[in-house]
Amino acid sequence: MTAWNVGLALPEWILAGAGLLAMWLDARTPPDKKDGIQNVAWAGVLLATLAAVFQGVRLWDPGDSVAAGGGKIYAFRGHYGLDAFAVFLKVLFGVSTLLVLSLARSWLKRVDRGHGEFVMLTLFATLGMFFVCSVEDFAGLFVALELVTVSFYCLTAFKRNDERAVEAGLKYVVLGALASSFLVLGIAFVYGGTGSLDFAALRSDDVAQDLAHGGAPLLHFGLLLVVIGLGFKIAAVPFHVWTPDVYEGAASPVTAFLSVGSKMAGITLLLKVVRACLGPGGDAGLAQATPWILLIACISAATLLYGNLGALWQGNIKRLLGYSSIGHAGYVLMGVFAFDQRGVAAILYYLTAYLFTVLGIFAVVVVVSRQTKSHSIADYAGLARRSPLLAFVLLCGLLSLAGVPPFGGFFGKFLVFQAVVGKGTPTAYGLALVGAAGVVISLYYYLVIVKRIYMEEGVSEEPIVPSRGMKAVLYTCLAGVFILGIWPSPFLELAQRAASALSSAS
Amino acid sequence: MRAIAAATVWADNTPGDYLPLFLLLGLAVLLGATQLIASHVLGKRGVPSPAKDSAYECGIEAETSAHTRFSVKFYLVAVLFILFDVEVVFFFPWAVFFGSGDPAGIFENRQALMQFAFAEMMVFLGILFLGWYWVVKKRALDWEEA
Amino acid sequence: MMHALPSYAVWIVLAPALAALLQNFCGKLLPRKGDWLVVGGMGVSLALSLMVLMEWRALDPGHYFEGSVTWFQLTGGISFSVGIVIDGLTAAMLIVVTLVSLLVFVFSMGYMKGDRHYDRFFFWLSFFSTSMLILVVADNLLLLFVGWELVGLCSYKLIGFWGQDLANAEAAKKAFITTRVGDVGMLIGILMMYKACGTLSLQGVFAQVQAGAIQGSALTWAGIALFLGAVGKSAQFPLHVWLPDAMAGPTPVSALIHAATMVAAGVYFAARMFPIFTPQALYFIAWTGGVTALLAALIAVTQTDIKKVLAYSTISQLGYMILGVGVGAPWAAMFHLCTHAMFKACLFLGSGSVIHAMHHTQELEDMGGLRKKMPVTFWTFVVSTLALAGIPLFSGFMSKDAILFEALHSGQTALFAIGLGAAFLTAFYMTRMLWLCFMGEPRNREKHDHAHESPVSMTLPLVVLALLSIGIFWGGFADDYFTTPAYHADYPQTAEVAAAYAPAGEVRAHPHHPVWFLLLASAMGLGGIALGIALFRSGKRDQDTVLLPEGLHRTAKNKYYLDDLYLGWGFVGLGDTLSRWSRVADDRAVDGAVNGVGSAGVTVAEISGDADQVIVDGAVNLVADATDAVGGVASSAQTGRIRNYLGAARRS
Repeated sequence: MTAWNVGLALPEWILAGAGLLAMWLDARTPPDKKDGIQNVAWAGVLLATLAAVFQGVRLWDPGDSVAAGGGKIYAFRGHYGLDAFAVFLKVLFGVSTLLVLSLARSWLKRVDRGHGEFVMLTLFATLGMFFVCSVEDFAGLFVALELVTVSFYCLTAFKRNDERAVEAGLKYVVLGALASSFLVLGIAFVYGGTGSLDFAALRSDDVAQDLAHGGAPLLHFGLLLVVIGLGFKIAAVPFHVWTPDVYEGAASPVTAFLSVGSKMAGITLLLKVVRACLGPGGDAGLAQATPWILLIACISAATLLYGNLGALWQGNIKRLLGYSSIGHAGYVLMGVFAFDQRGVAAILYYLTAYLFTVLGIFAVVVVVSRQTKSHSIADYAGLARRSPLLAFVLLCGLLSLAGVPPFGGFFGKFLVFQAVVGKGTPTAYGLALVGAAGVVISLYYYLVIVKRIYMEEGVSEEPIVPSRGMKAVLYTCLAGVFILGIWPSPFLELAQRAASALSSAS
Repeated sequence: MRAIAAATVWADNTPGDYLPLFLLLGLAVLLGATQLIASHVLGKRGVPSPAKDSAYECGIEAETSAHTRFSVKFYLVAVLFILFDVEVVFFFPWAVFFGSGDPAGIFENRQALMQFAFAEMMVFLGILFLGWYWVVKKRALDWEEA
Repeated sequence: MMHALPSYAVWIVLAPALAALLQNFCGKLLPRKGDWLVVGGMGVSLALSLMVLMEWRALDPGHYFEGSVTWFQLTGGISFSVGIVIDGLTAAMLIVVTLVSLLVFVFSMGYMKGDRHYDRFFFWLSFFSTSMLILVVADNLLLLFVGWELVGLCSYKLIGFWGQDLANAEAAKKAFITTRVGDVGMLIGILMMYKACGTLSLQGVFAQVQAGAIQGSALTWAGIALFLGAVGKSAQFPLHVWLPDAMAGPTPVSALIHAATMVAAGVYFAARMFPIFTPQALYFIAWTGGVTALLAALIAVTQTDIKKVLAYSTISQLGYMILGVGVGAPWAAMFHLCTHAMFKACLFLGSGSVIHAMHHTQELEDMGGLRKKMPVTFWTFVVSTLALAGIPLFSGFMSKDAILFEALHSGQTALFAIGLGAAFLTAFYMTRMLWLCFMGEPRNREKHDHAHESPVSMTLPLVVLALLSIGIFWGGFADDYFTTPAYHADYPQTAEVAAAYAPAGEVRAHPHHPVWFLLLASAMGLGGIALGIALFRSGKRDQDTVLLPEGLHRTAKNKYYLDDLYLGWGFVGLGDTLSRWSRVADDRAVDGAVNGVGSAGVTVAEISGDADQVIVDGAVNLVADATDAVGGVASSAQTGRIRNYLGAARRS
């Protein structure tokens, strides 16, 4: 706990180094020779991800002393922790950034300026996401989350000549700043309540005693504000209002990154905070108190219904995906509601499947919109004839989002539902019913798109040919969606180990 | 254990600790009021007249509204200034903590403390300098750039 | 007792799956676009199914084959498997699915000739049957659910196969979503069973239920939730609305859906899960089936589209099967499912043949007098109509009677009466359709003149299926099969059910049916046919109103206004309204917030501008004025006269 252990943050060092190197290179290369920076970024993220994988291999070796000692190593005198949970998510973040960078590569060809900035900001956002996995106190939480969010403010408004993008960026800044202020205020109250910024302080006996006897109203209030602040980041109702506009206005690769990276970062922190509130045993404490459970159930149900209903009659595919991502936040919150090992494992699996699904869909969006110059769903008519590959990826992606087997999304949903029903309380059954209704509703609007791409005649028959890099992304996502749906075993096992690391964290 | 130093420093504060602050505040208000009143009591008062208010005595006639649009470069420079200004604020906690000589006993000895302080500040300055270098190279500070 | 699965049984599923994959990837390169691959795969599957049936027959009662491998594990050592279980129920279902699929594939080779997406059609057809086979052989509820959803997905692609026509695409969507409503109930039921039993393997669940791991109202609710899946898939009231619209698909698809795959899945599932149903749940199931049987038969009387009549007839017959499960006789339900699969497939393919000949006209109005033009189609149509109408010596008679007898036997006289009424209506509307289509004078000369008998690839399946609708083919083997103790042993019952109904394994084969019952049942079928002939012999087409009162006729013709309810102001309307609200709320909230911040900034700026003027200047002026006043007072006091000073001094 008191060791510096600086080397433990190797993935973060690599990312920070890559980010700074990209900055240096950007300053020194002429505008038309920015490809090298992209290579640096790609290599940096790949290295960081591999470093995280190696750390994971060591952490998960049952014969290792670390695994025997609770499975968590600390660095920076306890302000940075590494366990299977953190490693799992870091790898997810790393993979999603790699895919986003590959997506952006062909997209950037059409953008005449700012290649260096795009890469840098992506790297810094990823750095923030990696830190998010390892923070052990509220100060770290805030800094890591802001690193992610501020990078995204700039990325959202990246197409600075595009009115919609600038509007989206402005909205995101204003509402994001509001969320951050909630978060900071909440942290201040929590500090006031526990006298410490450490997550561990919430689990200390004094605090747990206090909470068990209904005391510490300020602490409760602080935690509520923290939940609200994180709710903004994951786009939970009623803190979701920025989502559709920002998703629509931002450039497609940015939206893809936003819907995967930013959302997962918020969820990671939410899981860490909720875990901290669970008391030392993991089964008693603040988050097990009825009002909190009800609150999470209500937010989850509202998010599910709102996201799915809002998506029903959208004509813009990015806006539709924005609403759909609100809905998916609701399913993840169902897992938070069932906060036990199964619930967390379900969330992690859900996120893994969600990552490949959403990035696959956005890859299609990027390719199609390059040719049609439109994000209107009507312009997807006849896509099956213009490019069978794109149509197929979109079909699988949408059905995976809808939770139809044999795609990855089905298992995510199955595990989440299973965790919720496993609770066995009336609230749990009610929430499961709402979630089920959401599943049916979501199928409707996903099928509207499928109908267009497969059954309708398009205005143009001109083939759409994805570039080689794009094809690689498409095939990777397709493989991910299928493998996660047909052969869940290895990934589920990893997710379960990660979940047990979170719940056993001391 | 790894309690944050601030927590121990402020844990036993009382309202009395703020007395000097209030004294200072009162003094400031008193001084200002005294000066205003004194000048009025003591000074002669002139009689305003159109001639006296005319631009002849205090510059030239204003031609447009004062609320004009500035070049965006002003904002760019202002934002950059604020950015670096805020970054530099990090010096203060750094200086206070390392100047206080590690009251919480985080480091084994003074040597380790100084080494860490130096390394940390060098890294910080390095990043700051890289940012500045980038800004310069991006010609964000060039006024003449198209 | 469990036996090791014969090693070839895996290929029952794998053969069509591999054929589908090969055809999908290499179809364009192969002669005839690889349709023979798909047909061959299904042929292999049929042969293996027959083999496995024979092997199973050699086992003792209550024995079954099982083989599985681990799929994935959850915390706590609970593992899910991918496995195959084959008992009597599965074996019978396998034959139906593979046989009907094979015949439909062969039929499609003629029917779909020259279609732009001939190869894609065969891929989805094959995938459809494969999914159904996965569902049938699955040894656990999760795998079963996966197959179940895949069936839904394939039906979506196939119903919407000619989706350039908007109505087809809408019908496909409706089918997928409506059945998914039921699936959601099913998923929740599965999760409830999982919570109670700690396993999803079918045998494990049955054993746990027998052991009382879940009982009472919890079990009833779990059973009803599971049954909702069957309500959706088997088009039971009130989720039946998708099935008539699903006629929009190519006719082979309709045949497959109505006979072998989609709707059979629901009945199969209900029969499969029979061991967990409590008497209360069975009561619910029985009434769902009975109501569906009657209401759908009423609608069928009013329809004028040849495929719509058949669609409602299917719904009605599915109601019978569900009724059979509900009165504690799943074997009778499965028997009817098997016989129905044959004659309904025959009727659908026959109607396809007619539609093909009439250049894709489905209206009965345009038909008539086709008897001489299409003799093979006509005679196979007659045979299967007689089977559906429940005339003695045809297969439908035996299976329908089995269900009706069980309904009577279970003591639910009302349901028995409903069943009889529906049987009468069935015979009537089938006669009506047969007459309007084949007999009398042609009503559309032009189309009639162009009509011709279909090619052999289309008539051959018709003949095979018609032969299979004749009772002799079922009399020995099937009747014996479905009523033997060996088969009944597949249905362990909950103790309550055993007490409420007859215990499992009691042989109640149809020779034991009393004579009056047989007479009554045949009278219903014959009476319906007689009335049909009497009314339509003259060639008038709107005689069906004679049977039904005007109001009921209109209501039935409008499908009890259920579609309007769902689409107009019901669920969809509600969703529409809510989603509009949410959109408006978002626009207002976001733009409001951002604009609010903006305008707040402006306001603050204005206020601060004003404040500069009013407050700051005011303050300055105030201070000035105040000092002025004070100064005035002070200076007036400063008179320069010594006596005033003194006076002041004196006063103080």
